[in-house]
Amino acid sequence: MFNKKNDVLVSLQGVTKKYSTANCNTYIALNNINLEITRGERIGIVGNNGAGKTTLLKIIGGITKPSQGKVTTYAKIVSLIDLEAGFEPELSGIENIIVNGLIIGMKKQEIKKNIQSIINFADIGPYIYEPFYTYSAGMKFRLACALAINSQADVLLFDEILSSSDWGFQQKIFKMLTKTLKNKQLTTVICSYVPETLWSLASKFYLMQKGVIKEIQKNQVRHLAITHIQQFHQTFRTREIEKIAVGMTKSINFNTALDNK
Amino acid sequence: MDKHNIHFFNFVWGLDLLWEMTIKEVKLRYKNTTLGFLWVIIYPVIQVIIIGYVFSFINKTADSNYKYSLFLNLLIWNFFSSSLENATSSIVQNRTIVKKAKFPYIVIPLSIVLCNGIHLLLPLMLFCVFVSVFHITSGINVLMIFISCLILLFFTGSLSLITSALNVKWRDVGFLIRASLMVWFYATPIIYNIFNIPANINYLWSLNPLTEIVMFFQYSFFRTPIFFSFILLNSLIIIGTMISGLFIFRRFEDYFDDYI
Repeated sequence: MFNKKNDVLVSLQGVTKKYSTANCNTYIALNNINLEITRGERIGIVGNNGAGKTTLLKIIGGITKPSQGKVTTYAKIVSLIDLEAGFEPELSGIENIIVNGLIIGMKKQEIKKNIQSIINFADIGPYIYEPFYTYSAGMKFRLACALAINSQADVLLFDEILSSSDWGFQQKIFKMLTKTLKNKQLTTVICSYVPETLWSLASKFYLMQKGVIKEIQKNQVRHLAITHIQQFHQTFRTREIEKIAVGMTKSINFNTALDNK
Repeated sequence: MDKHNIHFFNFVWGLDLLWEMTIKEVKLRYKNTTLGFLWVIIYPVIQVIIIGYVFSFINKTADSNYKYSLFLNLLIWNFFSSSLENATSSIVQNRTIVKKAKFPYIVIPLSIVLCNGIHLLLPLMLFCVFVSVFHITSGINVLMIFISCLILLFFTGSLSLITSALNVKWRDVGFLIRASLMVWFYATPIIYNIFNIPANINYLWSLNPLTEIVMFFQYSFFRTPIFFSFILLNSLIIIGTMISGLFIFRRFEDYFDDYI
């Protein structure tokens, strides 16, 4: 299933991805990317919108092919680029689990074997038998997350998963994910333009700018995170945002102190 | 095998996925409808009444089985046209799942064709019972019905693979198919009999694979003769469509994400 010699699960060598627009303009989304993902790594990629993070995840997940370079995978990869995509509003939670489980690469037997764990993890009670359109945003996210985490994947790819929901809900999901990912010892690649969301979810960090990737140290992520929080605070000067900003900065500083120990 | 390639097509997984996607399509089609599955009968019956009535003025020499053969032909045509039209836009319409995960995308158009296939089978079975009970034919050939259904399914499926893959990059394909279907309807012996076509031009029908399929179905139910001179070219076109369908789809599927 995987490369036993050095536990490399995914290898990208000189990967370049070019897109052509309808006006025949070509732009480079990824430029000569070299990356190796080994078993158990929790990779966090930070970068602005349009830096090439989603394209990189799509290349790793096999959703699109590189224009140049080579991608080798030795593992089952599940991409969660759009967590709720493919969930049919008219079908029940159970019916959606089966179709979406197959879509993300699970075998039917695996789904049947794990269906109770998925239902327990989603923890949405009798709603699991109701149509998906009756679910709240939180319930939809929980079900999609439950399916992904129980998908028997070796590598999970997450893209901006925490940036679309409200702050309270983000915190809840954040705690749930941190705990689950640590317990399961999954290999994960998480991309976000918000450095502070990667803070607890990743152990190895990369910065992506204009299609180029480079490894950065944790203290650089800390700096990026604090700068981002300050900018956010300055833009929205409300008491509530101030509380959040102070809380987040404290949390980052506290985690840094723990790391230094 | 130590090295595992994620893109390796797992046949069992692909079949399971195809089946579940088909079931999903079937469930969704008649969700929240009162008459549900009955619509697959009601729709062609309405068509037969209207077309049969109009044609009774034009074609006064039509035989007594005309309405029954028209019903059968319309079942075939409705399956073909709705499958092709819906499957052509299927990849673009399912862009969220295409952009989300890597799976055999071939199941998307094929699930639509199979879903329509299920909708064809039910009225076809009822039609078998109807013509047998009321002695409308001297006897139906079940084996030929089965073979005809398979050819229809494979031809429609293969053509859908070509149009759905091309439509991702060139959206004109969808419009072209809609326009072609209008012409194709009259170019296929649905509302008329192939034997009424003048001999000097009927070779043109040998270029249309649906002619063979309609003739096979008509033979299966009403023992009408088959133009064997058509079969060779029709069959070659069907086989060619199947090979090119798979080839074109596989060639384009790696780059679907780039265009949707």
